[in-house]
Amino acid sequence: MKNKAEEYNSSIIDEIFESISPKEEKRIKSKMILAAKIEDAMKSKGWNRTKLLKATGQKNASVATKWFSGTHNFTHDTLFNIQEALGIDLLNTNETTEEVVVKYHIVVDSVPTHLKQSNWRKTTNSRKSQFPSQIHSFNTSMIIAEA
Amino acid sequence: MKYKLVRISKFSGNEASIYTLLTENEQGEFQDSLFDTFINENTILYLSEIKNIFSRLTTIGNDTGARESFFKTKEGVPGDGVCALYDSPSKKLRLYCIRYGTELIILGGGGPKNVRALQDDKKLEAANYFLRWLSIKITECRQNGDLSFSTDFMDFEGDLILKDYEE
Repeated sequence: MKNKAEEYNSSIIDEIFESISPKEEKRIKSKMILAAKIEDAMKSKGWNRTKLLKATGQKNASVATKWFSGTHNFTHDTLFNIQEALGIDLLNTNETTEEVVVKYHIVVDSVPTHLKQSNWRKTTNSRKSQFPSQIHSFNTSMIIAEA
Repeated sequence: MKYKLVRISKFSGNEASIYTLLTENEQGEFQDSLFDTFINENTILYLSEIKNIFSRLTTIGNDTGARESFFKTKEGVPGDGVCALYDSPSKKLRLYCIRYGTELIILGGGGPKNVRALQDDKKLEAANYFLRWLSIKITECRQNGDLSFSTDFMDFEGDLILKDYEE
């Protein structure tokens, strides 16, 4: 069996990790993921960097290196141009509504209309067996048992 | 002098494994890693850059993998995979690495780069040339069967101790 590498950690690594704020970490991660998203969209469109730069009105070839490095601080206009060129969503300004699913447990007590007479209750028990599946319209009462 | 390949668990994740090397001391024990030395040498003057590097490595390990675009390539000789992790455009701290696809990187040393060519800075030159040697050594070890990649290319397997480096 082949040796696997030892897992390594040190106190200095732990110390630095603890000093990084979650917000700062999230900001850097967001930059890198944005760069990756743009690069992936460019590749899936079959474009190279030159084509992307041309489509976004950029003249300096080194700009693409900055964009994809995951360190670049994009302006709104640059992101808008890239979004339009690649047909991807980088600036979603639509308000999102959170979908809430509420489950109700509903009990429906049904009686066929032709049985809805003043004395139907008296005859229900005896007739029930004659109409096991003939339900045309209902007199319905609902009980919301659980929300 | 001997070195041992180890996997830094804090950075490594589902997308990439981040390795470094432990160095052998005079008693024959493996101790501080090259990456620890890099941190210790630069924390006082470049703490924000070090934190930036930590966050970038964590994202590489867990979210994006070691994409080529995140690294300044061609820092060694053609094909050896020696590169530097990009830092913020206004920053100057260089961390040299060897990149094996998007799945695995080995962190070496580095330092602030205030010169045009790395050969103009003895410390950077030493860190860079060590990784060039390491890349050649790993290739040799893979060719003679002592070292290999795991089936998912995310880890090294075999004899993880590398020796005979001469400055």
